[in-house]
Amino acid sequence: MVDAAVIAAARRHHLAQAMADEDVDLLLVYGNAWQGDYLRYASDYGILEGEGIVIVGRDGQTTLFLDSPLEAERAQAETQTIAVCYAPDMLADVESVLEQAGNRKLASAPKRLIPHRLARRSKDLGVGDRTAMMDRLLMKKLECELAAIRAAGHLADEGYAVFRNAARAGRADYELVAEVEAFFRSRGVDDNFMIMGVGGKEVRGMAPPMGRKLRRGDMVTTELTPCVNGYYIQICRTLVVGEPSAEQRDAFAVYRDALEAGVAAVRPGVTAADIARAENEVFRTHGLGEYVTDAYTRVRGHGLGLFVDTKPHILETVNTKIEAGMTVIVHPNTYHPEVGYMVLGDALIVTDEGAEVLIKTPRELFAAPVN
Amino acid sequence: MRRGLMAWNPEELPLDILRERLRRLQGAMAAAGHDAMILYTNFIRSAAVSYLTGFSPYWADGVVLVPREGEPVFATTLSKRVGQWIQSVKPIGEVVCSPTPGAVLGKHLAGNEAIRRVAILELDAFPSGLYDELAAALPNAEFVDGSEAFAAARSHLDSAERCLLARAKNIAQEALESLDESSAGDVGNAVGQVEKIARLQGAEEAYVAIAPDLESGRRFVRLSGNRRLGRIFAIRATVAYKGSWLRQTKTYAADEKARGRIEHADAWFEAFVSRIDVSRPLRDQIAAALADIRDAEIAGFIAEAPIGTRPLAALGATQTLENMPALVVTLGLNVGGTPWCGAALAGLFHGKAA
Repeated sequence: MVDAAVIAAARRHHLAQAMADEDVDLLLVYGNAWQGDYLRYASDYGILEGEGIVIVGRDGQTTLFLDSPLEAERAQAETQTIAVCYAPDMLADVESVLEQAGNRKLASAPKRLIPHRLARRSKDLGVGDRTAMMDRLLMKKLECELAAIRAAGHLADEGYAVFRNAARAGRADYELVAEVEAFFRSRGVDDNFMIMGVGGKEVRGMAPPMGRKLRRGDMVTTELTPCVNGYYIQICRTLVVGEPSAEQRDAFAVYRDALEAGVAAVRPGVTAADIARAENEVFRTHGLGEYVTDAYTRVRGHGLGLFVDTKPHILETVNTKIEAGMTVIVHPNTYHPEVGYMVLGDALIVTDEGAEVLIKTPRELFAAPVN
Repeated sequence: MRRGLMAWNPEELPLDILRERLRRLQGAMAAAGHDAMILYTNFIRSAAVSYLTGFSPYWADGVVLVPREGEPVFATTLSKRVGQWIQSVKPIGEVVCSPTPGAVLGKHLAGNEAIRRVAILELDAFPSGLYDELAAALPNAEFVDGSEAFAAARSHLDSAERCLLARAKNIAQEALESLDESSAGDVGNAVGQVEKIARLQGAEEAYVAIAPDLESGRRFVRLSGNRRLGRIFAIRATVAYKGSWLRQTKTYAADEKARGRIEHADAWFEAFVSRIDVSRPLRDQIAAALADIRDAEIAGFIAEAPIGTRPLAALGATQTLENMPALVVTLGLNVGGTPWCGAALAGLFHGKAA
C-alpha cells in the first residue's frame, strides 16, 4: 500500500537535509504543469493550470504561491501540511518574501525557468542556483519512492492493453487516446504523457493525434506514461493494423535486440552513454547506424520520476553515472528505412544487481484487428 | 501534456485570418515603437502563440519572434524530428528546433542593425534562461514589456475564434450532459466519462475537475479512482478546441427536489451570461440578477478571459470586462439551501457587449 503522505514527508526530510548540506536557509522553487517535478518534490502539489512558486525553509516550513484561483482552491483541498496562498500578483509577492529574508541564505531552482523579475534580483538578494542539488534528489529515488513506482507498473501494462483493444481499422487516432484517458481516470491515474504515430514509411516520429484514421497495414506507435502519485512510468510499443508484414517483423527484431542489449547494460557504475552504445551497436550491426543519430531519434531512453523526461538522458554523449535507485526507460525508438518509425521500450529501476524491469507487456509487434 | 486532437484545418482557421492577426499585432508594435516582439509559449502559457500562429506545443517550450514587418519565426526546444509535424499544424512562419531558442532568435535579430527596442510579452514572467540567451546575443538592445501592445491587438474577436469557441462550448456541453447522475457510478467513472466524450469529439485538451459532494464542500479537485459521489455533485470541464479555451460546469443531483432547484438555477445562469454588460462591474450585475431567482445567495464567482499567454486568466476584482475577446464566468450559489455551481462562456464579445 502506497501512502502518498509518507512519501511527501520523506521527500521533505531529504530536501531539508540537502539544504543543510548546501547551507541554504530558504529555497525558491518554480513549477508549472510541464516542468512540475521540482515544485512537486518540494510541495507535493501537482500543478495543472497557471504557475506556482514554493518557498521552503530549512526547518520545513513551506508556502506555496499559486497565481490561479482555481489551482489555489484545489491545492487547499489536496495538501495538508503546507500553507497555500492565492497570489494574483505572484512574482511581486515572492519578491517581497525574498526582500524580507534578512541575512538568510537564499537559493532557487530550476535556473532556466525562474521568471525574469526574480532572476534579475538574484545578484542583489544573493540568491544562489541549486538546480543541480534538486536534480540529484529527483534522479536517485528514496526507497518509498521506488515502492510507489513499482506499485504503479501494472497501470502502464493495463493502459497499453486498453490502447490495443481500442485500435482497429477505421478508428481515428484521438479516439484511442480518449479510451485510454477514460480508463486511467477510473483507475486513479491523474495524468498521462502520451504521443503516437500512425502510418508507414512516411511517419518520422510520434506527436499528439492529428485525426488520422487507422488503416490496414498501418503501424501504430505509442509512448504511454501514466502518472501515479506524481510518478510517471512509461511503456513504448508498436502494433500493426492487420497482420504485420515480413519486413515489419524483421525490423522489429532489431528493436527487440536493441532493447534487450540496453537493459542488459544497465547496472550501477556504468554511464548513460554505455547503455545508449549497447542499444546503438545493434542498429550499427544491421547497417542502420545512420538511424541512431539525432536526425532520426532524440534519445535512446531517459530518466523517469516526478517528470516524464528527467535526467539522465540515455545518449552516447551523456556520461552521467548510473546509480542504484534511479528509474529510467530504455527505448531504442527510431526511424527504420524499410517500414517507418518504430518504438519499443520498458521502464525499469536500477538495482545493485542490474535492472528490475517494471513492464510486463510482452516485447512483441502486436496485431490489431482490421474490423 | 496536451494529448488530444491537434491538427490545422484551413476552413476553421483560414490563413487570411492568421495574417490579419499578425498585421494587427505589427500595427500595435509600430504604434508602441517596438522593433520586434517576443512571445513565449508552453502548453500552460499557450494562448498568445496559438492566437498568432495556430500552434500550441504539446510539450517543451518555445518563443515566437514577430518582426515589425514580415513573417514570424518560431524557435522551440521540441526536437528536430518533430519539426516537420510542427510545420504541418502551424501554418504561418518558419520553425527552428534548438535547445537554445533564445539564442537562435537573438542571432536572427542581431543581423539587423535597426533593431533597438525588443518587446517581450509578459517580461516579468519570461523564463530567465531564455532572457539570458536573448540578452547575450543582443547586448545593445533595450528589452521592454510588450503586454500592452499585445493586448491592444488581441482585444478583437474574429469570426474564426468565434466559431472555435462555439465548438469548444458544444464539446463541453455534450460531455457534461452525457453523464446521467443516476448511473454516474463513482468519481473515477464520472470524470472518465466526461473526459472521454470531450476527447472523442476532438477536444485538444480536457481538464475535468469534480466537487464530489457539494453538501460537504464546494472545492473542485482533480480526483479519480473509486471514491463515492455525494447526493449533489458538480463537474467542471475545461475544454480547448484548436487553441480556444473555456470552462463549463454542471451540477448534478440524485433527488427530484434538488434537481428542480438546480434546473431553475441553470436556466437563470444561462439567461444571465447571455446579457452581461461589459461596461458594468460583474459583481453588481450578479447581485442585481439574483432578484430573479428565489432564496439565492452568492457563494463566489470568478471571471476569466484569454489574456497574454494565458488561455484563461482570472480578472481582478476591479478589472474592467471591456476589451476582452471572450469571457468565462464561474459562479457558486446556494438556492434555497441547495448548493449549485455553474461556469459558462458569457456571450462572445467584440470589445463591448455581445
